[in-house]
Amino acid sequence: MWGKKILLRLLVICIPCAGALLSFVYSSPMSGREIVKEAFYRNDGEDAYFKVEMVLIDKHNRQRRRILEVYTKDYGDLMKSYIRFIEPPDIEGTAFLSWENKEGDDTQYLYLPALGRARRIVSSQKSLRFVNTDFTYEDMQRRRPEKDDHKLLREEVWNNRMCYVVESIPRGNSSQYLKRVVWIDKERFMVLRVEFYNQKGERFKEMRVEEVKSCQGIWTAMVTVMEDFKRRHKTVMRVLDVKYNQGLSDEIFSLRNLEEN
Amino acid sequence: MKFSVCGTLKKINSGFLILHLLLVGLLVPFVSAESKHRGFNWKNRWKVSSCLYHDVSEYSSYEDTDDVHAELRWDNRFESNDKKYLAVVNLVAKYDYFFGKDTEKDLDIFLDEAYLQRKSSDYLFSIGKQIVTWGKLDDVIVIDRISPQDFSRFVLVDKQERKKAELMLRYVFYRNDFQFEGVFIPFFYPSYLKFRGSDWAVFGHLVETVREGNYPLGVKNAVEGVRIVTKDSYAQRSLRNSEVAFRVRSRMKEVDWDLCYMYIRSRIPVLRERTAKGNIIKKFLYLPGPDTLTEVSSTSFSNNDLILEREHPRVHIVGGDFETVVGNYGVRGEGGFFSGLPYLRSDFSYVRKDTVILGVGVDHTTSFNLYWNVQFIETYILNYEPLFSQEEYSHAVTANLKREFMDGRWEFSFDLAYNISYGDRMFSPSLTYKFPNGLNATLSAFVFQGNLTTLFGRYAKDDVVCLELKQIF
Repeated sequence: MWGKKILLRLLVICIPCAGALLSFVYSSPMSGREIVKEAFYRNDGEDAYFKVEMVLIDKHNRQRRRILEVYTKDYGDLMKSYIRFIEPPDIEGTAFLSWENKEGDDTQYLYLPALGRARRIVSSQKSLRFVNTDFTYEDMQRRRPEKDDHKLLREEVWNNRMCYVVESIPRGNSSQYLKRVVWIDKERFMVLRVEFYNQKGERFKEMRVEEVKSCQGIWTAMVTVMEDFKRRHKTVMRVLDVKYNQGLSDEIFSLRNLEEN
Repeated sequence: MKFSVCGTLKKINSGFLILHLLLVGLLVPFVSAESKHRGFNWKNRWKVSSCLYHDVSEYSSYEDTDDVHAELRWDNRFESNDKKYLAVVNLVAKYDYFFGKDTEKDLDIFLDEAYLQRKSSDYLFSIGKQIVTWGKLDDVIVIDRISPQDFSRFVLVDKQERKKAELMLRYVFYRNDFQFEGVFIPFFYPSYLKFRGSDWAVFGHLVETVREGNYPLGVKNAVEGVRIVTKDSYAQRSLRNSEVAFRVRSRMKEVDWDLCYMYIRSRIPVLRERTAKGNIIKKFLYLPGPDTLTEVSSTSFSNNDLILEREHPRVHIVGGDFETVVGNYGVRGEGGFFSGLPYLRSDFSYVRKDTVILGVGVDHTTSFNLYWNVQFIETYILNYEPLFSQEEYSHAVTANLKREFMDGRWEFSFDLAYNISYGDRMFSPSLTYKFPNGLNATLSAFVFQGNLTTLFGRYAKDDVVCLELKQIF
């Protein structure tokens, strides 16, 4: 019930890929679809480790803090992820394991220390909020470019970076949102801002990357804020530590590791 | 049954709160920490919980009107830097204070889980006091029978928290997508179950009631003289009492499955008579009433007649479980064949019967963030003959509803266990507030309904409300 979609998906989406080189290669105007594909397939390392602080802030400015460790590894076009909460003590040990599938929804497991075993969880309920944050499970999932129709709206400067502004409208019923408007760094192909529109066409939520840093040559979103205007609630995610291409063992992404650690 | 919540709140006396604050205060200087040492990493965590139970329907002066349970845990993990070696040492101090006619206090300090583990990419080996969890269903015992449980408070405590760590050797071998697991338990450890002298004992306070009541001397002597004993052979620390269990786990397409075999003793005791007259006394203990009283008073018992033995027969169990996702629903199940489970016949004599138990569960979270989980359990007794409180086919259902409010600060939960075949049920609503500092306060109730011959019906006069404070550092 806790969660399904992986925090790191979001981080990975936000991580810049090919960097400056690409902007020279593509001298001709790119379509919305090409821009989104470029951002999706950017170089984000073969594997990654993140230690993340997550602060939940409500409308009365009351804060709750969580710290989690996130591991990801690419398996061809697919990705496996493992998340473990290490703070606060009452949820320490809670862990998620997620395996992307070529077709259909991800295979996901949740380990709750109180249950004493891993539990298979449903990954298709995308509109539920992830552990009371402002991220829904859909937000935490990598969204493949082919799931939406993309249209380049304009180019503009946001946060001192020249960005493509792309409107992405979901195909069929694949999303809880009517559309997203995405700001993608023109040089680094990194998602810097997303506006989310509900089915009534209202802009009700926004994600902003507030700090970016190059780590081992990979542009990484160090501070990300997701703000829900309707709930007047926001979630701040701060990367405390990051390591790429460490040669993470396959064992980390196994059911065995989920249960035995 | 009527609730007296106000009365209960009055009972939340300052002593209870002081006890909790004292425990918390003691811990502040020792909050959990992680420290790295040469070659290994030490993690420790403190957990304090205090719970006040209040019996809302007093029917006997022997009942415990209130019961305070306080627990302090200190969990320690020492893990080598290469993660190949792990030592777990968990210390627990429990304090119980029963308020009633005979106020009782009990302090117990013991080692809970305490084991050493060695693992590599191919295997895992652990030895020591540990807890093993098998099966996929929630809070139901079908094949999850390796670790004994503490039923001193019946089912007021969740299954996982009822489990007792005991000495075991566990070896798991990993090959491709398969996992082979073997567990060796050198000695026999029964589940803890009281038969008399407690609100949650099988016979409640019957003995005290008869002793103090206006009953014929013969009945008083007989009931007073009943001795419920454990066979010496079970208590012996002998390898003759050893048990084994094996499990294979894998995944086929989207279905996780396990197959298991266990050769263990039945964890929950069934009373076995030494003589035929023992059945007369058993009948009275289980079904106290005018008829059974007359039968006891008209029978003369020898000492041997009044000895009832806790019987834990050896059982072969062949079973399995599965878990998958179908659309937006989680689906899981488990089942097994049990050779020679112990029962009581309708004349209360001891008998063993092969039994098949199957269970299936479905859970789902609605778009309003309401989680529900429903499980159905079917029990079939082979070669059936009339038994006390057991039909040939019996069906039971459990349900759990849960919802968080106010950004997760409040949580409401409702649990139901209903034995359809016998009509007895237990339901338990609870409301939890999660403070920002990690303190969780839960107000809950347990209501039992049904006939005296049924599992929950036996406790129909023991409905409780409880307030629990829990904090982890």
